[in-house]
Amino acid sequence: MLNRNYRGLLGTKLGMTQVWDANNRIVPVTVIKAGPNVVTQIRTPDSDGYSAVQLGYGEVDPRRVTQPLRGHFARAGVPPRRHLVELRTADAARYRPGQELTGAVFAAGAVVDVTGTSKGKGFAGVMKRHGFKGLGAGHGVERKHRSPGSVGGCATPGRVFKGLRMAGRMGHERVTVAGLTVHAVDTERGFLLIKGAVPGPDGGLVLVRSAAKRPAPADFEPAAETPVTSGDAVTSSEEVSA
Amino acid sequence: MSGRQSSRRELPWVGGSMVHDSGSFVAVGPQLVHPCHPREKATAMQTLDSLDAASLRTDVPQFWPGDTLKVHVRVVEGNRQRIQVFQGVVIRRQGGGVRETFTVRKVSFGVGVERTFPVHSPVVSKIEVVTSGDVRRAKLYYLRELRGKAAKIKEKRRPAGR
Repeated sequence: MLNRNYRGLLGTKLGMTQVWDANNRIVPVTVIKAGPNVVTQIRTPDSDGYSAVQLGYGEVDPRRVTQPLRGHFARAGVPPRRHLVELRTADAARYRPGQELTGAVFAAGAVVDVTGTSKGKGFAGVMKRHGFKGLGAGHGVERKHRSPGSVGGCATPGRVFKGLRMAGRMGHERVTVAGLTVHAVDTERGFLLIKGAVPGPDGGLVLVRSAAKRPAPADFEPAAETPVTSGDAVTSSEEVSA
Repeated sequence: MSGRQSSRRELPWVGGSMVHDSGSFVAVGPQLVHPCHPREKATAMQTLDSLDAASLRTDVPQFWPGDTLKVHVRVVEGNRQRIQVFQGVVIRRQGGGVRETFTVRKVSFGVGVERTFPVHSPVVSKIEVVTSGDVRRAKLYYLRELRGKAAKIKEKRRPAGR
């Protein structure tokens, strides 16, 4: 059973730049436009067998949303969003549907894991895809400099082992980079400045989440002034709970 | 650089009206860069310009490769801070925006010393342009092979008003 807290936000990777830190050193940062996210559902151990928060992010044309999804967002009392993600956290009960989350969820200095979809590399050879060394540049090697070499034995085993690393499609897969530091949070523009590189192209969707291999953050404290999108949202969420 | 040299020929883009709001340089007098110059293109609107604007300095004087600079560097020794002046010739400027850097070369006790600074670095407290040099290259790497009088750069005769 999950017994630790996570904070998380969906966002858009805007690109990389550099800033100066307090010691006048250059810090390479990835800028992520994080939020505003909205809580669309709470998963509880009673009803779902686990506790998690479902977050929605991104604009979507309301006419393009299917009826089942429309109903799902209506239950939370929020307009439809493009992306939904579940964040497993022990303190899910402290969130409420319709609540808006911004970059302020993270403080400067927080350690996070960032998940994104890496850039597609197409059909890549073994040197690029698996880091093979290839064959020699000289010594009689002809037209085989980037080839994998032998793929197995002869009559024994008489076949190629399963899972042997070969050329193939590379990239465009879910990648998580662990242990990145939040350098700064720009609440005014909704930017998270994360030290280091983050998977995916500029404009790609990323999930920023508290680092799994670091001490868990404290319980989520719903800010007193946390704005709920509209008056309807409050009533509908109360109806759901009632 | 070509824009600067051709300024003597009174080309139409030389004038106060061409001052552009790049944020990286305070326009002191006419902006001597052709609209098609790469530096002008580099100032096209980018996604993170608004974020980088906070890191850019507005007190950087105009200087080019060939100019002799006094770079006032903040040196931190323990908890004390002092200013050290590094004087030499600019042999290169590269990059754009917040990551633009320049390299200053001087010969110290017969040994060539080159230091590269980010143009917008807060470590640099002040940049003084001592002389403007008349050179025909953007990268003055040839100075590394030259010694003494041969390594001297001819001073640029300033056009009136600069």
